[in-house]
Amino acid sequence: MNQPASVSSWRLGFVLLAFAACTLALVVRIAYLQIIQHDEFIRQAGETHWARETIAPQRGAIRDRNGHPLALSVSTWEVSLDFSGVPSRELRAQAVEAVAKTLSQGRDEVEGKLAAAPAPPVHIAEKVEFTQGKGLAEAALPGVVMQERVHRTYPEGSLGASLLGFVGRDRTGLTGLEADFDRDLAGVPGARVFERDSVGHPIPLGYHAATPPKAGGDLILTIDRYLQRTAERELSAAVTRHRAEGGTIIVMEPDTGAILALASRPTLDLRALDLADSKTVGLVRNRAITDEYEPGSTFKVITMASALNEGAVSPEMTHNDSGPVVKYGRAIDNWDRVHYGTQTMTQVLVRSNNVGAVWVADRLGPERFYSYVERFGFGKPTYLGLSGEAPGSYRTPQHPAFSPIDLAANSFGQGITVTPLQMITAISAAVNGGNLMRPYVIQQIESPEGVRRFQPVVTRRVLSTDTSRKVREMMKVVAEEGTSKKADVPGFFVGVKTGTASMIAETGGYGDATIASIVGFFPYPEPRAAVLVKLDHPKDSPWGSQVAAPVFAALAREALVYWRIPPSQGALAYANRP
Amino acid sequence: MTAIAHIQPIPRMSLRAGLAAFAFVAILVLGTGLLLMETSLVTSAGYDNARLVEEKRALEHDTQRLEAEVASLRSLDHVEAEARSKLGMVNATSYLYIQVDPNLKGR
Repeated sequence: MNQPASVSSWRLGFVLLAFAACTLALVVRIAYLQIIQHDEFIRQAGETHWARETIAPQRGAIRDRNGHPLALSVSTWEVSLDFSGVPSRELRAQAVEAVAKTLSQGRDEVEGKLAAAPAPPVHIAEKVEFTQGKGLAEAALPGVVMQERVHRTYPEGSLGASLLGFVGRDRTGLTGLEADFDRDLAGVPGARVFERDSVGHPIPLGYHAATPPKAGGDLILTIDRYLQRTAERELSAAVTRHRAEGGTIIVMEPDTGAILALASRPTLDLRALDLADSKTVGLVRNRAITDEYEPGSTFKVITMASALNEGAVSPEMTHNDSGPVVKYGRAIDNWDRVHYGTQTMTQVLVRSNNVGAVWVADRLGPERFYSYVERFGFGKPTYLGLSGEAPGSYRTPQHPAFSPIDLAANSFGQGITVTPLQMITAISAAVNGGNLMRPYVIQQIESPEGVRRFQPVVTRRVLSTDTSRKVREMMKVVAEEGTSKKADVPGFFVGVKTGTASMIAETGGYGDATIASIVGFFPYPEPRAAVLVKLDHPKDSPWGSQVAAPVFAALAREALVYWRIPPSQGALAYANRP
Repeated sequence: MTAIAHIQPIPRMSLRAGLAAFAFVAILVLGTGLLLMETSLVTSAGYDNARLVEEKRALEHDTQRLEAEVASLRSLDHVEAEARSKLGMVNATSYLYIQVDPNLKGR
């Protein structure tokens, strides 16, 4: 029997209505997804479909003046395991097996690291050689995280560590040349954009665009690795021998201002850097340019050179050292408290006579004296190009706290602070013919764009050629007859001046500790190198003539043999004198 | 009168039209074949290119590593260690200078 037509149409209407409602719901949902959330899904699709990779550039090398590498970059892998998105036991086991095999480790060892780690990703190994880890990276096993790292290597160990500095994990230079020349060394990263398939591999016929990275430039230093190594070896030996707190050696080419060696102790161990160790922070600074000290008697060379250049004294001029000189109520005595009566200006330097230095400064007068101190470059950075350079300090007559006693104290290197770099730059000017050179440590930068060469720069003329000749002659006599005989190098003529200055105590004023130093050049009469040796707080002897002079002699002898400079006939005859 | 049925002859494709159709099909097949071949070649070249780029990268990394090794072997520490251990050399403790007459000529 048939249903009534009205009941049938009601049911049909209900079904149609249900269908219409469902259709409407679907349309609304589709509209929501396609219109409202359009951008979000486009973004998600793009992330899945498009891949963008950064291609790290090769960081430039740092080389010595002869091209020997001091710092190089090598690509390595950092291997980690992250099984948070890998539920399959089989896949996990496969990954562990592959990692263990690649790293030549036992499977138990890798599993032990996994078990010991609190949370993924678990760090398994670092500095894995590129070729060793390449296969594992290409296999793209689930859970295996391979990150390419640029590892900085130092073929010469920690040679020049405080000068070179180091880079962080993000390949950015953090200290030293690595930081100051980061823009030149780092290069420009490249990028690769491509379409990828469902497992992440590039689609061969898909879109692919790449910007290649630009490699960083190589820094060619003025440093000579042999002299640097010799300087560091002699400095380390002296610091140990005299139980000093530290020290500095700078070797400079006086005619150009090029730095041939720059050593500091204590220093970093670049091969075992631990940035988490607070002691490392204290070792980072380059003491040769950041630390100020009172130069002591080495400054008498500057005082004497200034007076000679002004015609205020001559090497043969005499004065009478009859006892301590009293200046503005304060007595100034010689370091040995011995007074020699009538003595020449050369003898003032030979005996490192404080009373004589005060007399010379008085003849020069404060205006001319401080004019020369400024012209020699003290009180301002040398603009070497490295960050953290200290300017040094002294008071001029225009300074509100200036006292007339300052002139007397400054004449023999007290009451004035300098950096080792300033001191050797000034000494170079005194012996190179009178030109103050701007010191430099970068010889050239070789990048894919070209080569940038750095030429010697004359900052200013300070002394006449004749004055400079007289200074060289006087410093030679000091090495032969003076307090610095331990700086003598048999077979060669050298010129030196030693200094011993009290260190300023933390509580203020002078303490018992001293800074023993020497400045000099070799060979005489045409200097090839100017050298500063400074030892901080030597415990067995406070004197520069006892502590620093032998270091100068050892370094000079090595350098002269290295440069194949033959001994002079006159010096041999002098060395063989009865 | 007998009706004679006129049977319309089936129009036969002219020879020219047949050749044209054959040529069209042949060009279509050839074109498709060439397209497939080109696609295959491009795909193959794409794979080759990717492989060569990777090889180049690996070789560059090898060069870096080898340069570092060479530098390490030529380092002063290494040279000194070799001189001491293999040649039995020691640091000079004294220097002897021999004066040679510059006018002296070898016989």
